[in-house]
Amino acid sequence: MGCGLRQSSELIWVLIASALTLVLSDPVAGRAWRIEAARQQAVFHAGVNAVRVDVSVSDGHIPVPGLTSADFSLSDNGVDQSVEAAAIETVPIDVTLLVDTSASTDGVIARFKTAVQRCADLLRPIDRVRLVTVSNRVDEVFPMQRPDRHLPIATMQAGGGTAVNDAMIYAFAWDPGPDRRHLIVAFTDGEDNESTSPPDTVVAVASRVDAVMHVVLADAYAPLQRAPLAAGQTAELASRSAIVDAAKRSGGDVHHVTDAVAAFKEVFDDFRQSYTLYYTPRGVPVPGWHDILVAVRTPNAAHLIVRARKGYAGG
Amino acid sequence: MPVASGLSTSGVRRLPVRAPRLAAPLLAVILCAPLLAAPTPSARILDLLNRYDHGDYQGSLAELDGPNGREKLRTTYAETAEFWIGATDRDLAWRRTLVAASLALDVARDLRPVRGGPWPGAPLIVWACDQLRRHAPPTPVAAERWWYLASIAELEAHDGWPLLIGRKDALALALSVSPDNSLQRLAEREDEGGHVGYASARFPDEPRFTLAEIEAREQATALLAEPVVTATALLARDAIRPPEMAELQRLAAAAVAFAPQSREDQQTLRDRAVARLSLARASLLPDVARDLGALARLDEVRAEAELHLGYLDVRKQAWTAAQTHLDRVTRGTDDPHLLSLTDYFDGWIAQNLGDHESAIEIYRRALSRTPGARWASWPLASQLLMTGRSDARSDARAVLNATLTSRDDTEPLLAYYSGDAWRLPEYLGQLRAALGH
Repeated sequence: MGCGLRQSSELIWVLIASALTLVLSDPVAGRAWRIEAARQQAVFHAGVNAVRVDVSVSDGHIPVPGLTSADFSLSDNGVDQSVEAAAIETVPIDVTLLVDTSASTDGVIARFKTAVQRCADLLRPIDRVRLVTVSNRVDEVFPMQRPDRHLPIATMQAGGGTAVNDAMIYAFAWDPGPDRRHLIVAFTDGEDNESTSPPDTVVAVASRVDAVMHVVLADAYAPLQRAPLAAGQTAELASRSAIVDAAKRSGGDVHHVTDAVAAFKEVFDDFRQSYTLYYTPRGVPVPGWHDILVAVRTPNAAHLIVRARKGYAGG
Repeated sequence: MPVASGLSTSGVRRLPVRAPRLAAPLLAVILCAPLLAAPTPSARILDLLNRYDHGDYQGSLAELDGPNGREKLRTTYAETAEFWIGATDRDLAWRRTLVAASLALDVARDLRPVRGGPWPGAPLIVWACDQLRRHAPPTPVAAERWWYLASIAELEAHDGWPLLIGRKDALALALSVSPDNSLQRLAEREDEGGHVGYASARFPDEPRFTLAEIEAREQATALLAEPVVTATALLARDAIRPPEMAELQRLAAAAVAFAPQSREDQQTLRDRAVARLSLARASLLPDVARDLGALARLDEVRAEAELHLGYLDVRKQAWTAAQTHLDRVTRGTDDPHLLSLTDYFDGWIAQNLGDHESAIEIYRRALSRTPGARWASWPLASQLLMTGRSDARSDARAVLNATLTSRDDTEPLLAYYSGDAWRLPEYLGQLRAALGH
């Protein structure tokens, strides 16, 4: 299983840790959490195959707070499931910043360096951050670490091609452990020309790993508007459309903005205020691929944007 | 190397070793020659030729690698070498021709294209081949065969495909090479059959020359013939899909500047290239498959022919047929290069069949053969992640971390489409040994 919490004790530990974290860090949200967590822990008994799904609910760009498990519907391979817990997620977050440093970013590399530091400044002490850069090679500039530590970003420099598909595979391979969530924010023009990994592999991996990926595409590299070629798209365009697909399948999105820090703040706020649903699949065989469909059933649901990953691989 | 060492040399006359007693008079002729001939031969090139002729290969190569190395010799080499060949009697002229042609290979092989232009070594090989044909005795010699093998490998290493097949496959040339490509202009001056044709005329029973000719036609259908080549996921993009002929013909005929600046024009150029490739595939590959099938019956090249047949089926997504051919490669050779390519294609087949566990096993085996290879580590990590296993991410991360610092950026498909380039060091060694001293 790609993302399931296999032991109920793990799940309860996560819920308790989340509650403690929230109480300590945010008194207002903490009150809401205590009410929700207390209400849900009273009824929640996760089995060994509990599945965790991160769900972002927003009204335009504004996260929607206050939803409970009863406000969500979830189907697993077309079979309706009972959502056993819905938490305003406050567990620590591991953030992978993935920055395209290919030659095409030569004019903006200095801004990228500043942006990386400012993005890290937005994180909480309980979070962690790492920086992965990609040109024709993938490099982990610094490993996952506390955001308030010195970030060694001086060596970042632009040059070479772009192996962004490979870099995304590398980003998805990070294992945050059961008590943390993983957010990937990729800043790139999305035009791959050096990867070993085909675009559809990125999509497949994004679907199977419980990390959420948001992609910030620089406006300077807005997609070329063309009809698909009969004989096949060029590699770069195929790569970009796959990146968009991968982001959405992971439960993330694509952002066309010029201000990387503003984009990151929006992504991070959205992720921090997203919900985590827990359910134990019933009526579906465990092995194989599971399509997940999440919806909100509040009266204003039609106006809300719900983002969640599209599925997971069973054990 | 199994294949090369297994080649027959029967019927091939050994090259007579240069007679040392003639050295002094010849040297006198050479030294006096600048006074008699115009334009003036290069003393440095004459010195290099004489050292090479005496078997001082290491010294000659060190000189070529020096600060006044190959580039400075390139434009004057042919003129001086012709003078040197002509400055001796008829018996030794043939040996000198072979020596000069061999040194030409060493001068040419590390020349670098200027600003994306064609490989500047090609004219030297054309010149050397012309000299060989002009001075060749009726019976071929062993050194001559090694020279052809080495020169073909050198052309293959530098995308000299038009020269290899000359005008024999005009369709392939028209589809794969831009009209602005000077290699094609060079090829158009060649006889029917091109460089490989000359080699085959001298050694009609040599299957490696037949293989080179087939590979040249196959290469014309490859993605790498695009004018704007990117290295992303080459295997996926080299697939053969049923062409939509009318649309392809419209796109193939699109007019566009060779070096377009706007993104729209660049896109049109790419569209045209892709369309032409698709047309080339439809036109050429059936015959390529047929000819490879004939070669697969010969022991000397069976493994390579099966590898190419396997990859043709990979491109058509005929996975079972491809697997059959690749299994024959595995059983028929222990050559690391061929086995590595077989792993590459086998892994691709397994992952396309959704067989993650087999793909993982294949890529792990490939990494044990070629540690640090990106082409194996990234697919291995992807396949691990796609299993959904709880330990897969840490495993995948370990695999990738072990590769991040690796400098092995070999792209197997580029090696596949480089023919015998990987055998060039062996061929040059055999050539020097056959020259004797």
